[in-house]
Amino acid sequence: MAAVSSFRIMTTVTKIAPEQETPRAEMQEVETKKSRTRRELNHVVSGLKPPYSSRARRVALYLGLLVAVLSVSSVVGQQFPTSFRVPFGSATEAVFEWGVDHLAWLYEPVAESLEDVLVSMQFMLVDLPAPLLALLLIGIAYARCGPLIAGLLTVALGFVISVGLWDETLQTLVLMVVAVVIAVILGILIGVAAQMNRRFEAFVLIALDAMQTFPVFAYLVPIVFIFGPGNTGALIVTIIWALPPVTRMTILGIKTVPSESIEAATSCGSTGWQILRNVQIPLARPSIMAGVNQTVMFAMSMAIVAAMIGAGGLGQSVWGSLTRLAFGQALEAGIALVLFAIVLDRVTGQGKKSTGHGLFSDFRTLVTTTGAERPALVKRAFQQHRRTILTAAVLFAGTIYISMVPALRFANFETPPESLRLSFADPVDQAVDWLNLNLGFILDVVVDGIQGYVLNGVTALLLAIPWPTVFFVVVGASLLLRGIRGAALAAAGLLGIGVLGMWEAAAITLGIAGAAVLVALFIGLPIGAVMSRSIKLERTIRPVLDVMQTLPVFLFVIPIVVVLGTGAVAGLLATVLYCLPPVIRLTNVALRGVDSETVEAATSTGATVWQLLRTVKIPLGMPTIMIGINQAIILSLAMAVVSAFIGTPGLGQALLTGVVTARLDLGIEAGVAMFLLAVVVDRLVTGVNRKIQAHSHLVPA
Amino acid sequence: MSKALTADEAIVSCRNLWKVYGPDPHRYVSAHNAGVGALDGHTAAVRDLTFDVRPGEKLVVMGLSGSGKSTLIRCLTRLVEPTSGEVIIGGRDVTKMEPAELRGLRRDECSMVFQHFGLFGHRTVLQNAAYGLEIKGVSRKEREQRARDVLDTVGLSGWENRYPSELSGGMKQRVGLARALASDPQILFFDEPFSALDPLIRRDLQDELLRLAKDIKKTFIFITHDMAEALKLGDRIIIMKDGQIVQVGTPEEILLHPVDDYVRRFTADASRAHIVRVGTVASESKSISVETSAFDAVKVLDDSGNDSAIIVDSHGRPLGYINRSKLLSVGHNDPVGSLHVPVPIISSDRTLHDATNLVMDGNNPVAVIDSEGRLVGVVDTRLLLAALVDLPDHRKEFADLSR
Repeated sequence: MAAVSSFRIMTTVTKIAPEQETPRAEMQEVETKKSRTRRELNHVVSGLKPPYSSRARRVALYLGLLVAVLSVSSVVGQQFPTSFRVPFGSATEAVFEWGVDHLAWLYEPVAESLEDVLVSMQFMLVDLPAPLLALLLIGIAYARCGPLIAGLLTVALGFVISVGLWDETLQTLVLMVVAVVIAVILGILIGVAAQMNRRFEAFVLIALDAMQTFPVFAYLVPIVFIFGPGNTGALIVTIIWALPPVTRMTILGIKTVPSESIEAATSCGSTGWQILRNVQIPLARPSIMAGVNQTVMFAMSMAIVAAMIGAGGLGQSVWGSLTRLAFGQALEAGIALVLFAIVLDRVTGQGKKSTGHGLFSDFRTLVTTTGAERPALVKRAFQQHRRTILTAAVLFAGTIYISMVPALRFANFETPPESLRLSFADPVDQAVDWLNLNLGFILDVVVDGIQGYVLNGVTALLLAIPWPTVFFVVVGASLLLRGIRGAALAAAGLLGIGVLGMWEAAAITLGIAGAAVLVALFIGLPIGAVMSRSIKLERTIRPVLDVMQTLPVFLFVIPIVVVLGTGAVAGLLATVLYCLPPVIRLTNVALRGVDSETVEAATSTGATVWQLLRTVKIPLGMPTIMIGINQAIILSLAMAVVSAFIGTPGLGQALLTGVVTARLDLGIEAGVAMFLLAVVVDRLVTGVNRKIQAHSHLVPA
Repeated sequence: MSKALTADEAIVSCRNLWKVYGPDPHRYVSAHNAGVGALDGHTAAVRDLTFDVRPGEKLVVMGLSGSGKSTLIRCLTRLVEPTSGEVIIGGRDVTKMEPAELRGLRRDECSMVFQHFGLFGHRTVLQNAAYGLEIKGVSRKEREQRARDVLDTVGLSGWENRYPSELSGGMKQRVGLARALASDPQILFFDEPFSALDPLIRRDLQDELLRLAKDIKKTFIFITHDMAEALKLGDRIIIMKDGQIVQVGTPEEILLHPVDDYVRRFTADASRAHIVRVGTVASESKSISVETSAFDAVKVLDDSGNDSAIIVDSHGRPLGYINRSKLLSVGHNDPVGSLHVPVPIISSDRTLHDATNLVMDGNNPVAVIDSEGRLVGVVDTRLLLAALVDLPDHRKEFADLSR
């Protein structure tokens, strides 16, 4: 059984490569015939006309290829003609200018009230005795996650105080809290509303897709344009970026409530509102909480981006130091961000496997219970909520103590006494200097080698291919994989990139992203495979992957720039690092996830480890592995802007120039081009994905 | 087949009920009614079903997966909206109810138990059981008291403050049952409630359900794919296939008179001992009045071609057993009353299982009596064995059992 399905996957995979030995080709013929008949049968059964026969698709593809070849021969090496250029950017800029002039009354009150919230929160935190605030934060971490994370937070707070980043930490905290609270409220409201109205849900899902495919930096420019640089703009950018996860997970959570639970409530005569309140939202809570966790991490990852448009805080310390090439300081603030990201992830995550019942409901049960069960219940409640109770007690005592001791009450965490100061900014800078002086030449050779032979080669190759060829190949592939609508979308996307004048930049971006993904696959697939065979290894690698995925993108850049300096190679390496975790993680999951009985069946026929991997685990895990590759591709494109900061050419650089020089037209054009590129690539990759899934026969048709 | 009841007699009535999935379900039904061929691209889960449920009856709907039985039970309270037809519960047409009226029906008159329990994982056992009452707006104190009572009935007292995740499958379904019972409905719907349970636990719960059904006078509509379960629990069974009724009847009717091979295949392995009643298999026996003389008795035996007979009193109640050799060994004028040997008696509505001991105890046949105590026939080892293994040649013609 497993062997059969594995063979089917093999044949479909080889279908992409045209040359193959005869027996397999024959089998493939049989296979396609079979699936064709099945497809036609399905159409007959469902009584719907087939949208177009597979023969028509094939003819269309060949025609496309013919045209492509013809155009290649006639206009070899030609770039996208500049005469096609459409001044989309300046037109949009005009619209925005009109908007700023005439619609300010609409959004300015919102902006002002957001500003007020931020400022008053800031003041509140500054007024609070610093030791008490620290105690409160550590207490929350302890109650939620226990001593380990509380300890880590204590270390993190100690660290920021000793390197003099307390004020920055508070600013970041305020921005995060406000952004997350607003995003969560909005997200849950939208999610619930989407659950009530199907049409609205469809709209929301499309909007979320667009929001997540759109590079952050693309809406950075218009927001700066509208709100001006500063905290408010940063807050709005963060909210927009952090909104999708919680919304999505709310929708998903409500959707995946078991239908029997809803039927049970319905059959008791509940109203729609009662079902929502009593059944759907409580049962969707774990999912919603996972969404909140992701939203927090998304917001966190915006800390540095927010700094670029003038938000203060830790992000500002990283960004400012980076632009001054003060790597030591950037590293300090970076470490602080990493530590807080880890703590925040744990605190807002699911934490330890608990019974999942709140303090409140447990104590309510206590109050309403009388008789013999009571003592046992009291004991249980105290055991389960031991940490919360302990924390509350310590906080209470701490508040009194701190308010009575003036030294603590007015403790200044921003400028700690010299004896507690700890800063490794200078040694780090010195080390970097030493490194550059003494080992720089070796690194230079490596960097230049990669730049000269790999990157330049790839981009040169991509640029050498005439645009009609790219166009028809991509559109043809989309036609095969996604049908006529997919092809139309791909065509529109590619033409869009062209008329925006971004063809060349997009080619470079795609080349670098593609190279990065290949490298990531080369490294990640074997690691994932090895990891899937050893529990010990998995336990070691997993936390590393977790941390890597929770880090703000920019932090990948710091160490690389420190060692390699700026340039396309550093950008490439940062991109590889950034898109590596999903590849490793999903390969591991895919290979582990293969049904144990299937594995046993293969083992009992005497398959070796390698045979097992090749004939059973990889074919059965292929759909999941493909999801990892898919994610890697999208992440590598998303990284384009970030790597532009360290000198990588392409779309990112155009966008960055737009942001830095406040040229709205350029920023918008580059942003839209990036969006289009991401959409086209994403559709293609998911198309391949679906094809593999459909031909794997793992999912019933 | 049972004859249709009038609307007053039935507590639940289905009239021409349809549930069709597809692009235009209504057109599908009207096409069917007009005799035009079926429309493409549609699936009819329930096709033109008509049946009645009597108050207090345990009706089992039996069918394989895909036969439409789960859709049917959901159509009855419109958890799934029927395409057309009528569902009359307590004299009111459910399909025409406004949302508020429908909720009222669900709150007060019907409850449902689900295959995968459908418990609320975020509520304690007690809160789960009290859910229906909470929805009705019953005060906390009252509803929790009532929930405790039903939890006690289903054997879960002491578990009130646990959460469903702490319970075994069987216990979870007891909670589901308690939740359904708590609002004291007239009609209970069961959607394959025991399918997800281990065989032993399933049997426990089946027995418990039978015990409950005896204590509380409620109407049960029970879905299952397990013929043995249907035969065990049902007063009547509806067998469904492809959304249609294949056969309706008592367990005994289904077992002894399957309408087609489809039903026969289900019943082939069924244990008959607990289902088939003695009255069904008893052979007619010659009865001889107690005042008859031995000579006359022999003549009766000669005429009927039998070798033995049951002696009955003036009301036709069996007194004892007598055979030819015994009659021939005594004087001609001796009344038979003094000659007979005692005969074991069993009521005709007992099962073959009940009769087994009596039949095996002695060499003589067992007299089968009706509810008034009058002789209706006899069973012996030969008849019993033939009935247990369903030997067609020896099966006595089965009288129409529909009442």
